[in-house]
Amino acid sequence: MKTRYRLSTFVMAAAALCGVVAGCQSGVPETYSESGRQADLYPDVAGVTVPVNIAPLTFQMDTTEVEQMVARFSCGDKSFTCGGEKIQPDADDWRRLAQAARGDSITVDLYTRQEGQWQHHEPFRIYVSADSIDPWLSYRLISPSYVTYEDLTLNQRCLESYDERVMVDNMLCGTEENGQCVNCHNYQQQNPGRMQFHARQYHGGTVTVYDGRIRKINMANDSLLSAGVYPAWHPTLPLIVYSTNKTAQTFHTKDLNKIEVYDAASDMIAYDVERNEATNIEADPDEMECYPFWAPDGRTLYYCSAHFVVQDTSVVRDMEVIRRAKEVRYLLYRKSFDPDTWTFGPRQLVFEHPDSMSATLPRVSPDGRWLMFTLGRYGVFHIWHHEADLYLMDLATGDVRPMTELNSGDTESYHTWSSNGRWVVFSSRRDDSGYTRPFIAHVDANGHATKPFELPQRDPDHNRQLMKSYNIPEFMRGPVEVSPQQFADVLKGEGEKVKYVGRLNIKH
Amino acid sequence: MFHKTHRYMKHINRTACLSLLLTVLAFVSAVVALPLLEADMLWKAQELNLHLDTALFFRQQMVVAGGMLTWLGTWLTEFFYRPWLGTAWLAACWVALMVLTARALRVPLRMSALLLVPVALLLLTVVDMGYWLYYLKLRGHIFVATLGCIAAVGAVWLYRVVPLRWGLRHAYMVAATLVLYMLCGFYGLLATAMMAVVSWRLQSTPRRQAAVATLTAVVTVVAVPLLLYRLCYHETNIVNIYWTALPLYRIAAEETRLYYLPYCLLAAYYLVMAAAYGRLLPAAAVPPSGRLRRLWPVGSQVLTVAALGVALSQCWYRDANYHTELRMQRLMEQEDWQGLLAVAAQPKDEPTRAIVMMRNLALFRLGRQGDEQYHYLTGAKDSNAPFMVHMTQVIGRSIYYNYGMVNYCYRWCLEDGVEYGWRAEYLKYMTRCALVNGEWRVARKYLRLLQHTRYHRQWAERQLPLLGHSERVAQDKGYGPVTHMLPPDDRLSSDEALVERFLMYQFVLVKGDDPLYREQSLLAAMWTKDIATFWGCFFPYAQQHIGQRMPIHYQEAAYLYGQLENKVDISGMPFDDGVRQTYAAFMATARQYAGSSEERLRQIMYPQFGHTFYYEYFLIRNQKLY
Repeated sequence: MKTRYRLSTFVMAAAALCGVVAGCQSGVPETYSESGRQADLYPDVAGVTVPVNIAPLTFQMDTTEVEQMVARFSCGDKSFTCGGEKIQPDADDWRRLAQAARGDSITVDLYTRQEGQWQHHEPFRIYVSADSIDPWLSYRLISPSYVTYEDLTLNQRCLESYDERVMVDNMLCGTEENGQCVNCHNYQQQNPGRMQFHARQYHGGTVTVYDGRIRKINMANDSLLSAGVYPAWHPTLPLIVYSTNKTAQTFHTKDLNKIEVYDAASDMIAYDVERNEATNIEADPDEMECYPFWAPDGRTLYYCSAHFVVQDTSVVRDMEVIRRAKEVRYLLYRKSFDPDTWTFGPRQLVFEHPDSMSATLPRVSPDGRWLMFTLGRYGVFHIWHHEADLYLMDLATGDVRPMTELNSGDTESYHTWSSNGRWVVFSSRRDDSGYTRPFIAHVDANGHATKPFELPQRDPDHNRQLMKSYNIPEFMRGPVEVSPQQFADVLKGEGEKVKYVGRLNIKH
Repeated sequence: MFHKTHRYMKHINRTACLSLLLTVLAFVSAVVALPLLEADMLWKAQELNLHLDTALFFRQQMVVAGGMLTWLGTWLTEFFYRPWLGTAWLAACWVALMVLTARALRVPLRMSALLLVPVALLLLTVVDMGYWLYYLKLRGHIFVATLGCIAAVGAVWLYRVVPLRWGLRHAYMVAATLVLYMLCGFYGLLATAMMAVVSWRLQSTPRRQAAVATLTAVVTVVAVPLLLYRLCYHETNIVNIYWTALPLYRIAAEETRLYYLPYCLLAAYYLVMAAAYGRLLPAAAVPPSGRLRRLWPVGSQVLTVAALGVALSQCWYRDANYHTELRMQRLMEQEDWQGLLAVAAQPKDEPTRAIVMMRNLALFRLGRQGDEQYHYLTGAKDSNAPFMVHMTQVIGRSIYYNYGMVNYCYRWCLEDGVEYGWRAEYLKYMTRCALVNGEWRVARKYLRLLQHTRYHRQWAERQLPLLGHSERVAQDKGYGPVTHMLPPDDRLSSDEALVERFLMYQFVLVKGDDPLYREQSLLAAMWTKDIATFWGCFFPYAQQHIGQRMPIHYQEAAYLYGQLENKVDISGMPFDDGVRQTYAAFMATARQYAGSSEERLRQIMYPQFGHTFYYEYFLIRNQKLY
């Protein structure tokens, strides 16, 4: 489990290479005792369902320190054996076996050696779905800090290998006293050629990439509550709907949720990417709208909103929101949208929890059948709520159920559907309750999900050592080809000021 | 002639021996002085350091040019857990640097004191830090410059011996710049500049080749960082690419340029020494004439050592409060509350709030705060630093933790971990917070990380049995007292980075039943000097301690407030006679000197009443909190 530097990195790297080579050549031990149960593994890969094109699942013993592990992966007459301090299958071996196990399962026979004695554990299966997954995933790596930030990166990771690249790095633009926060990367239908993200504070602005054109937009406008925050690309049109939020933080003295991120006010705007024009679509001061999301047909916009009427005019609104934080409940709404006239209809209630819990982050599956959302006791920023869970609504019947297949005893929040609708990636703090990790699960046509697996890493201990959270996991059909330095060059320039219009001009 | 030359050579040898002896003595003195004078600072430096023996940690360091220096620097800084051991490593590095410098730049033994110059400058970068200790972002700072210089000088030595033919030396320069810049950042560029300078002094190098070398150096020094910025490094702003692996003495917009001077002098020293390459050796075997000129070689060495000694002693950061704070922090980590009080009793000057808060915490832990809080010097002296020092970065975490405000301790660990880089101290406090909160999984995460360190591994392994056992945590000698202080109710709030103020108001706003918590609420109420708040905390405390002796300061506060407002009937309260008499004497003295300035009154009344709440209430006011 531990990799220690003894002489130098080169020696270590050589040793590691030898270890891997030797490990993968290890045979199954001839003499061993039976443990009579499955081994406790980290990450938990027993019984998970993976896409056929996923990178090899690596794992190690969860709490027990062992001298060596040997795993035999088999499907029918095909198999390979892998061993070492951790199980890190060879990519080619894994790919061949996964192809053979497509629609079936891989059986994993595990042996561990402790104090010189080999033990055989109950075999487990890894199910291999015939449904493939989008080959790339992007996320923000951020320390789960409260107010400060230093190095933030938007990363993109190939799911078919362990290749991880930095897409945007705020350190290229920020300086000591002029820090920069980057956030809210978003794509039009998982298209890496049509994406956007925000930079805040120093060199702030919204960067859009649209068919090869990179622009920096300055969305600050007197007619808007704030610059655009949480984005939703229209599935086909050059249109992004944003919530505009006055977001702040306050801190719990005792509650283990520790932080309350809240909106003191929020509205919703629509932004024309090509014309650089924006307009308000919801601006009721007694409503706080957030997290817009388009239905796949592009004719309905889902979002959540909390009704909040100021009662005490003697204090600033922020103070009252903090004081009444536990009263802030978000409900799910939708608005119709006419793609021909770019006009929105009135809002309709989609979901209100009977016990007044707060529903956020509505996300509709690509087939338009399922609406997945997060439910917490109150508030809008559920990644900091340990009780937050994922729920699924059948839009055909209106039935809602907790996604018990996906939920754990800790936080589940931000979630995204894959382009084929058969996979979801969601954020969970189940590993250590403090750091968000992406988990991926298969969802069938009936809305049933399988046991999720954690984003595979070359070193299974990687996430345990990492002091960062994976923020906003978003599937992509390919990598963003713009380099961090190119983004930095754009960010250092002046942003084009957005033009506020009464309604968006639709003559594209 | 032969005899004359022989005599001169003997003279040179004698000079070399004397010079070497002097150098060794000066070096040993500096090396011994460091842990003797700065043991607590060195210990703290390793607490504020983190090196993990993992591949991920290595990769994380290597994302910037100069990452190898920080990786090695953090590894070596770990040894300051035992200050003498860390110093031994540092001394060994300095010896290596001196030997390399002597060999690479051909510094003769008779001028060996010159080799002390970089060592003195490097030592200065360690001992002039002061409060930068808490704020510097360069990891492994104590070793980074030393290691960088070793690499740079070593590269120059190699440059000297690489053959000139086939352009090998130029190729070496380009390759060395590339590799050294990646590994050592700025020091790689310094090495290239030294190579260019030294090329003019190498007898084997024609002047045309030296010009080519200089041109090559200029181009590579400019181009390599730019090229790597575009192709490789995504975490360094282009404005900083030439200065990587150097510390940044900048907080917010405040930049303290004087701290860069040792680095400028270090670079200047090596460039001058490169320019003087070959000139320091005896030019001819003919002795200089005149007694003064014969004495000059030894005299210059003595003068060099003396000048370095004077400069070092002048620039060595000395501040009683700074060192007291460091000593107290170390004792607090050892939970040596008695020792901490002994240190708190020593200062004769006005203390910082950090000292006052650590002292009060120690008194509280020993159950003596109600009787002795005002027996010590109080104050709110600004930290002696060229920038605003906040308690949050110095002792905020430990104060919050020890007073049971674990969510806020955890918060500041995370905030500062993000801002200044992860440090062993932060991980330990985050572990403690998680254990007290019963957050076992995240506690295990931090313990696993600490198990990858050299000296905090044992601490981590001692905490492992507590995982999953709240009862063990509550009974633990270290954690138990903290569990008594946990907030009874949750409140959404923010401390605005004002630790003391936030903590005191937390204790008076959120009422608890635990006797220790109640007592701290009473002390916090006294801190606010708000009479209504005091009574609100006093009566619950008194009811909980019926039949027990009431600490003297609580009696003083009750008696004073009873007298001042007459809203609460104190006639039935069993005050000690001394409390009444002291109050009467205090008021009489105050009347006697009515009309005197507050400053004058403080001077007059401190000897007799400085240890009372009366003095605190009337004469200690408007203390600056930070």
